[in-house]
Amino acid sequence: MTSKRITQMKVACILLSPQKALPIDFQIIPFAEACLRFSPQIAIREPNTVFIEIGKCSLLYSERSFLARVQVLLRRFGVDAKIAIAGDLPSSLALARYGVQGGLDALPLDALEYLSDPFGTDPLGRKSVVKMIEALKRLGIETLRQFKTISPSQIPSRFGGLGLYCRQQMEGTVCFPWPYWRPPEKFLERIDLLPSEFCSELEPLLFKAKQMLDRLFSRLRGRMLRAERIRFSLELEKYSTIKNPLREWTFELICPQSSTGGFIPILRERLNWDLGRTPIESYIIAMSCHILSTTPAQSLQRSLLNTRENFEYEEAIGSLFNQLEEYLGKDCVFWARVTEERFPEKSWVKAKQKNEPQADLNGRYPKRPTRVFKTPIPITVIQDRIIFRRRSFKSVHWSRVERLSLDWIDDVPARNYYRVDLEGGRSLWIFSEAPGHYYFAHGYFE
Amino acid sequence: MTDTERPSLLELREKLSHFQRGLKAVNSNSDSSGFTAMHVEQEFLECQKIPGGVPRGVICEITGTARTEWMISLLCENPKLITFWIEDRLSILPTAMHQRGVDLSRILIAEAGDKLFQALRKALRSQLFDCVVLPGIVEDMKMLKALQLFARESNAAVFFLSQVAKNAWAIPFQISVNWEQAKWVNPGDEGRSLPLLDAPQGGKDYSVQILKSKFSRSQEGNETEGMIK
Repeated sequence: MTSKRITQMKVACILLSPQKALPIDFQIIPFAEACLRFSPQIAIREPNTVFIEIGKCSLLYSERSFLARVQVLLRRFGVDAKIAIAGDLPSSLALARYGVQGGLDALPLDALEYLSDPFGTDPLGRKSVVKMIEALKRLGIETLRQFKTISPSQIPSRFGGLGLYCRQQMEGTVCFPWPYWRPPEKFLERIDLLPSEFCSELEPLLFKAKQMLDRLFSRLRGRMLRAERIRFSLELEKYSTIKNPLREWTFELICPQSSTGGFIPILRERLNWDLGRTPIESYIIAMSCHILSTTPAQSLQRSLLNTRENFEYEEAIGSLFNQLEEYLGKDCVFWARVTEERFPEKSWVKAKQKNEPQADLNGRYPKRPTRVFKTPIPITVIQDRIIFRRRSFKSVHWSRVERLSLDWIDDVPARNYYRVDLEGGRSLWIFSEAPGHYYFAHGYFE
Repeated sequence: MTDTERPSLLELREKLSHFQRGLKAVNSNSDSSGFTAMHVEQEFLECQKIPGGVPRGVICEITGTARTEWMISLLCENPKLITFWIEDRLSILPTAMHQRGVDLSRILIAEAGDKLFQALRKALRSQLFDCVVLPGIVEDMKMLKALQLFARESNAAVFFLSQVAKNAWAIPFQISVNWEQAKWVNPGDEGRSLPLLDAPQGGKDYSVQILKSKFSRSQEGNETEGMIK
């Protein structure tokens, strides 16, 4: 049976100029949204490729008029692009990449990379394709036309399933699944302010922002969504002395928020800190709030009786976490997660989620001191006396040695740890890197 | 009843928690004859070493050489507490808390530097925590008074881990926790031996002494003065 195209598609690939040549503020999604006028069936390959299925719209416009319209659109966005039209998505990408019109036969063998994985989502598969291309080149095969001359029955035994898949892609006998894309929904609210509203101070600003946020969060709740990333902007009057008339703050929320009450304190912390350092230089003409990403809130059910195990409590904790992080600094607020490592410095890590799995340490090693020093403190051991911070203590008992070492790659010497009981009941946790070497106090049992 | 007379969900929830608190206090104060003391609303945290328990909604100051160990054991005895552990310079080792049986997912830890009081105020005003632990570096009377008010509003037990007990009226409960003599196994081996892994605190125990208490929860409460083991 001869190979036959499964679909009668026509795919236009618009390959925008390389990322470096694109304007700084250019984004692929607005351009893709503009392309929806041609067809509702669109796919995107980040960062600079848009695919449009135009086969089903052949009665609405011709290929020629399509190309002319795309050129107008590209001029509006201020970008250049290579455009290729083919029967399927991978072929159109390969043709656009090499700037060739017509068939695939004229393309170099490297085009197999685009035929096998047009969206670049499989890095492992890509490595295999590169190896296969190298092997084919060693055999003297340089173009896809030459690749076509190999008998299909010989390909699986020499190059496996991947080689056969590439061959089928070339011949158009496999159907590439078209990923569904739709423009992301925008949750954006904006308020225009008059100079008479005196919103240059923090409190009136927050008062106005609350009205806007109330509307925004109501919209989210109506769609059963919660805000995960929020951008808050202030537009200032453009005086000649003002360098940046648009002030923006982006908030990454640890726990997605569904109410103004959870977000306003975080906003207050950030604005208080930032406007304290860089005050507003002219009056504000508008403020806007844009929800950049959302998470579903399907399972949010209020619990009247148990206030500690419902989503409101989780949101409140998340909000406080964000506030404290804004106020104290990054990594100053955290939940602790215990690891399998024995070294005290590596035995726990800071976590932003509270329900992370903890390692089971039950009976694995002796109990650690409750307090540790940030950096070990050198001590002097003379017979049964320990001199620590210029004070002399009598030791009454040394525990058996516990030897701790890291992986060889860390290049940290092993440590011999002892628990030393001092006269009066206190206990120190000390170590030396070798017997008879210097001693350091690393912590104490308090 | 019109819509304006109906209580809001928030008010209902507040009333409910108030009622639950009162009910708990009633249960803990009822004797065998069924007599209950309705006037008592003070809540207490269970503590094996302190028969009357540890009061909530007030500042408690813990001094002595084993104060952190006692604090951790209190968190173990009350596993449902949600705790905010704040320090100016972080020295607590979370691994040690986990080894002693504390659920770390219920403890939010913060290193506040010189912003300790402000961060603490935010945490207490949020009313999200049952227990707050901090080093006893807050000495200003105004701050102590403010903390006392916040603690009462949020019904959270605020623990100061201090080196020396403060003489302040805003602190109504003070205890001293000190290590006792160690109990070791495997004597010999040139004087060096391994502490018991399963013994509390690796072979040592501590004693608790109540220095000051303005609370009496039960009949044993009268005996709170003096040494308790």
